[in-house]
Amino acid sequence: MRPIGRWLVSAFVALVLTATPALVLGAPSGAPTFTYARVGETETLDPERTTAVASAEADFLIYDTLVSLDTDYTYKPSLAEKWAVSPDGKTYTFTLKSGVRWASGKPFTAADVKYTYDRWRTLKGSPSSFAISAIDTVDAPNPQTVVLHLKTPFSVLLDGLAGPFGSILNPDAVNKAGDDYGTAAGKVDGTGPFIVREWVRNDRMVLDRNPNYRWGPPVYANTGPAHLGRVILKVITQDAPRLAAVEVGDAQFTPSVPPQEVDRIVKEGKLQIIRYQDLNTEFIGFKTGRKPLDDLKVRQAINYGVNKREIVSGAYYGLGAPADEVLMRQVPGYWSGVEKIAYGYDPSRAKRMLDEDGWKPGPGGIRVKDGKPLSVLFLWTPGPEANSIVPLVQAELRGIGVDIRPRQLELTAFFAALRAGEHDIFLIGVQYTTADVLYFYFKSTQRPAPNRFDWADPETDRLLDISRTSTSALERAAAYQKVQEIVVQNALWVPLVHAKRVVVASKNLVVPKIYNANQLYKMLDLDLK
Amino acid sequence: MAAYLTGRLLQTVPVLVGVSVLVFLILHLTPGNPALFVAGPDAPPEVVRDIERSLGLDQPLYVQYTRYMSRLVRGDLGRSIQAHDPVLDHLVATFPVTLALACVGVLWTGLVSVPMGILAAYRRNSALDLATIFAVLAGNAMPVFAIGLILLYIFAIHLRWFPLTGYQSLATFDGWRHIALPAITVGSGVTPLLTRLTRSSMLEVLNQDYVRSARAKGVREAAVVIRHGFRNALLPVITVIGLQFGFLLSGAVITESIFSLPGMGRLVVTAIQARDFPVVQGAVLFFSLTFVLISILVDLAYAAADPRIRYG
Amino acid sequence: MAAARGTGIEIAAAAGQPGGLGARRLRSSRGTLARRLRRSWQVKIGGTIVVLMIVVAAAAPLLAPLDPTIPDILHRFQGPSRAHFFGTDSLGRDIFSQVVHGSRISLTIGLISVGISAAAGITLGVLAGFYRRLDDPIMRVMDVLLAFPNLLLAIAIIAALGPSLQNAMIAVGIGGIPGFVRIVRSAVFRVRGNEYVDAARAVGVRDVRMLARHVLPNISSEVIVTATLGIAAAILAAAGLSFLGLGAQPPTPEWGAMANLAKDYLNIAPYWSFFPIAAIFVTILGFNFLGDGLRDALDPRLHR
Repeated sequence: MRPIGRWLVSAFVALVLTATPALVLGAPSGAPTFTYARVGETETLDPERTTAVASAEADFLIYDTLVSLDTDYTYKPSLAEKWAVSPDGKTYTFTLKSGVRWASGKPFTAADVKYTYDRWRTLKGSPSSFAISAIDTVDAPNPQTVVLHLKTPFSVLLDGLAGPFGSILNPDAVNKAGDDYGTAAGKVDGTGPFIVREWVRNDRMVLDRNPNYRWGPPVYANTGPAHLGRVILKVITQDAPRLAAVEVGDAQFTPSVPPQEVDRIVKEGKLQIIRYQDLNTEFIGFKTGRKPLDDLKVRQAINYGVNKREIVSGAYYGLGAPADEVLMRQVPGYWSGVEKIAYGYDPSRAKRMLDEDGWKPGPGGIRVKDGKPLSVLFLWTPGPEANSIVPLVQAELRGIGVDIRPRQLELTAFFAALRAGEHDIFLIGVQYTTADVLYFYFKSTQRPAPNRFDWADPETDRLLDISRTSTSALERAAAYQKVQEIVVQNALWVPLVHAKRVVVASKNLVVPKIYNANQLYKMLDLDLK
Repeated sequence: MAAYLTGRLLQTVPVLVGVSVLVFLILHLTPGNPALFVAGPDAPPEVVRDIERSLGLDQPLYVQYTRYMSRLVRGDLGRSIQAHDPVLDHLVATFPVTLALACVGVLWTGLVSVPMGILAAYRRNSALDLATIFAVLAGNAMPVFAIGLILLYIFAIHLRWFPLTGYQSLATFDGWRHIALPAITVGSGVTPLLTRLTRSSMLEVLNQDYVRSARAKGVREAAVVIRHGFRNALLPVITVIGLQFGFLLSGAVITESIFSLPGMGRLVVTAIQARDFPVVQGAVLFFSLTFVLISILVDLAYAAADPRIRYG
Repeated sequence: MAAARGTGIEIAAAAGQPGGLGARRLRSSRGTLARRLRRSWQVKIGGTIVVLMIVVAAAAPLLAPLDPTIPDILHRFQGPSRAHFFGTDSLGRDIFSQVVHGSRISLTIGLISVGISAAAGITLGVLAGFYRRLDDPIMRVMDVLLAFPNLLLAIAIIAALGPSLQNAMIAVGIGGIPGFVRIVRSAVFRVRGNEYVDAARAVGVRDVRMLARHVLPNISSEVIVTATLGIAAAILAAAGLSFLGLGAQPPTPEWGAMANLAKDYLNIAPYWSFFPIAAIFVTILGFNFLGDGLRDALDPRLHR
């Protein structure tokens, strides 16, 4: 028994001591190491299998796309040097850069692009393939040329191609790794500015720069190679330790800062505060197909009853602007007329509307009509801002006699419940890059999700079809404007806040540009002094 | 001995099958399936349906379970739905972290509780004893998350004596600095129990005839306490490991999330949130197997530590 | 210490609870028990805390100066003062009022969870004790429950049912069942002298009488102690779940949920975290004192 015991103990110790992740040694000499404190872990480095934000962070470093989205929402060359669209909008011809090589050394050709897009379109279970579902065939007539033939014109094609899921893959690497592609450091190949060296899931991903990289998109002053020698993506899920990591110098950047800490950071003056504006709207959506929210007056009254300024100061600590409009002003397709018909905060008007509509104050101040109380189920998922928005909205609407029953669900259950249509109203924040977000939310074929409004209107559908298939920019803009008008007039949602984004960096980090939602994007111009 | 072991091991099989059925049922009754997670919140319905089909989720429950079990007996735990790699890889990568956390936690507990319990018993009814009893009860009343938060804030964020987060191999000094605070957090959950058990078993020992006679023979007090006390403290330590291993693992879930450790507790929680069924199933089975094996080991260790126990 | 069946928990548990309370009937007269209870400082302190908590919970609406759910942005992050004894949170809500209202929730959690554990555990324990044919399946299921880490079980159940206070209570309650089953089953065995009833025969009058006369009184003290300590464990477990965002839903002022919200404001408002955690601490301490004191008083053998 005793020898067995000793054997067991030593086996235990050996397991604990040795079966631990190995450290990569030898960072590239001379160039600085940059640690990025991230919120979540990459699910997979196969870009066609995920739509997670955390995966995008790494995808942009490892891979390149044909085109790049600049901060002014225009498309710039990336792996494609230039491209042309046929007058009928159905043929896209891309001319590829020469001299591009995979990290593994093989030259990059048009055949790789064709392979990637064909795989993407046909991959079973790809969550993003609908972004290029308009593509009929992909041709690679010569090593420098790719031609996409579309079934119908598709105005937002480039948006899909510029996204992380549009990353171009090396067919050899994919075939070699098979199902395991993208699951570990050795099972990835890309043309991007960085190469994965080590990946310990839920802890860190270590990437070294590709010294031969010369083909960065012109959104950067530096098109390669990167100034940084090594990038460490470090996962710290809790807000406070993540911020503390930057404050104590364990990391030099974090993409997400709790809004309540910003004042203190500014006052202490030890870190760089970088503000930027991406396209985002936090909103409360109504399920319009069911009582009591099938009643336009109720939806409008709720719109009048929500104090957006209080939400901006209470939940966002002033880091945002009250949102009256559906789209932000800087989006191509924004309609300024929306400002005239938007709903402001006016609780007495809200009460009057409900009174006139037959909703009379009942027990506990909650309004009643036909014996039914004005009580709605409010689905939401926790987050630093949402945690404050929900009690604020609940208290405000109680003031006009509307009872809110909040139900908090974790992310997956939340979206599942919305898809199942369990909600009366719901709270979501959306980030977008084009006015196509309108198609996304309000086309009848997008029900039950992302059209969680249960909105099916032939006129809206007709306009949204035009917005995607018309080859005339003017016609598309007109369609978008009309849809915005319909959305406001029908009070399909309460736009709450356009958040102002804040990130923090150590003082010695040089950050020339923040790429909107993609923040540091390819990290080509980042440097540590 | 061998027969006993074989019997015990065979008994674990129905338990594990039961656990697998339980997990399987709970998971599949859960609203929100993995296809929704993979598809992302905004994917059109047909994309979700395609993904469901490719994952086999459109099949009846018993078919899914039979498929799962038939692969399991061949040693295949399946692939993660989120990450697409074998579940086994996830378990192999995260288990050492949680094991290290639990082991260092037990080590810390042993270092604190055993001397404390022995001293308290030795000076029974003294102020020291009372203080120990009070500390035990107070420790019992502190939520694990509160201990973790306090340690994190004081020692990592403010004093900066320890790293904030992360995990390094214990083969290095840095590794021990990384594991220290989480291990103390996890260990503090069982410190009160161990102290109490050490104290009461020590009390029993001090009342034994042979201890009294040793004292009477003039053997120095300290020697008596150390020789008999420590040896007898072994049983409570083993007991605590056996009885509380599940508790340690549970504590690991909260601790790993506070300290961002890449261990199994966090693996399971994130997998549950993503409805990554194969990972949850694999990890829970693995947890349960570990738990069952450890309780067998504890029984064996009893026999080793206490010559009065023999298994036929 | 013979070889135990199943997962070996029983060995460990037997060693873990010296004296195994239910092992014999209480020999002591009522008088001495009462005297012992009065003498025990643990029972005194614990009892006082528990009674205080019940009073606070019962009188919560009277004691709380403000509605704990009403935001007041202009007065947020105020430290403890005469206007706000425990200060205000990120939305200007009164923390003292939240903690006071939270006592109701925590007490309910403790009672209902333990109620579930005890009701299911005693029933299953009696069944397992009386019917040989049921004994094995029941104990196998208990083995499964024990082999499943408690918090994970709770998380899984909550994932299935959705996060809410109610589901947290169910989850915590289920986790506590095996403890009661073990106590009751072994008590039945002892009383019956390990003789099994023929499984085909229903429980006869004799069995019911035996249950009422011998089994239940015999285990009552142990059940009371287990339940008292169980309440503490349940409150603690539910607070842990709420801390992970899986229990009580905001704006419900459950203490664990409050601590979960407050933890992101430790730099700005440390008192916000302090008070709910302190409330948990004092409450658990109270129930643990009471439970321990009762155990010592009911089991004189431990007094040497």
